[in-house]
Amino acid sequence: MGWYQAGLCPPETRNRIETMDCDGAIHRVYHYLDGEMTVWKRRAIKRHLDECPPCADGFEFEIEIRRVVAVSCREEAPDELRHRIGQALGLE
Amino acid sequence: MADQADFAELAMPFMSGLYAAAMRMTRNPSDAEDLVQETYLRAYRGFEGFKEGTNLKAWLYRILTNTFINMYRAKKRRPQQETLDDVEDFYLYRRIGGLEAVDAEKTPENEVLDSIPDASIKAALEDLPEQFRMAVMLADVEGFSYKEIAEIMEVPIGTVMSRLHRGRKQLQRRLWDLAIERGLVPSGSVPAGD
Repeated sequence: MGWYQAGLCPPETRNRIETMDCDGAIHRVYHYLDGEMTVWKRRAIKRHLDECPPCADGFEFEIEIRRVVAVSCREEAPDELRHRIGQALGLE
Repeated sequence: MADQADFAELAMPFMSGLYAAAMRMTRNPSDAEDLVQETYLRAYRGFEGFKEGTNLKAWLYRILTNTFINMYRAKKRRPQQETLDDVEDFYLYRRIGGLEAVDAEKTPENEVLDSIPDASIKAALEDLPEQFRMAVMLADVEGFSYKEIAEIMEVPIGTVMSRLHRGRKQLQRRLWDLAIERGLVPSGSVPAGD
């Protein structure tokens, strides 16, 4: 028997064991991937993803989209610009 | 108080990131270079006001954003509030991933993404209205948190979330259109506009 079933959890956490369905998880995908949610919601989503391969697959795909966008949008500052700024700051 | 003598050493490593952001903001290399240069000059002049030990990267991006607004917004007089249609969650995954894709002709979803050229992805991002574009870029390209973006763009966190989430979904819609245009998905696929 876990802490929860035994009624040993402190009252403020006892009702925070949340469940999450597909819609709830998908709706919160960005908060989850951005790491911007409470630990309770996070656990609920993690549990849902462990049990629901299609949602887990969709979450993976969102990570992949983000990776592709980040890599595609990288730029290298031109040498000429580095030189120009260096000069303006009195470095050269 | 920060010492101006340390400025170059601390700030120069951020130049490529700032230049990438400037490219997405101005959408052309020559304006982007001017914007980055002006940002460095303003940051240098204001460096004594930078609190040591706080977030230098976010501070520089805030100056970049303000400089962009000062230098370019005035030219165009964009409306302060832009809107964007709401797009469903998992937009792209529903179409090229498992949920609603035609199984027989299914291409692995990552392959579709990888075959879109960098230039097209940049163009799709640059096509988003400015406020959504900046939020997506700051989060997904530069890796800033909601709170940092709120400080950089000087808006409440709720506004950041709304712009970021809407911007990302709209970007997926544009990527889908690109995938169709380039024939990367089965020909029967429906364009986003329909």
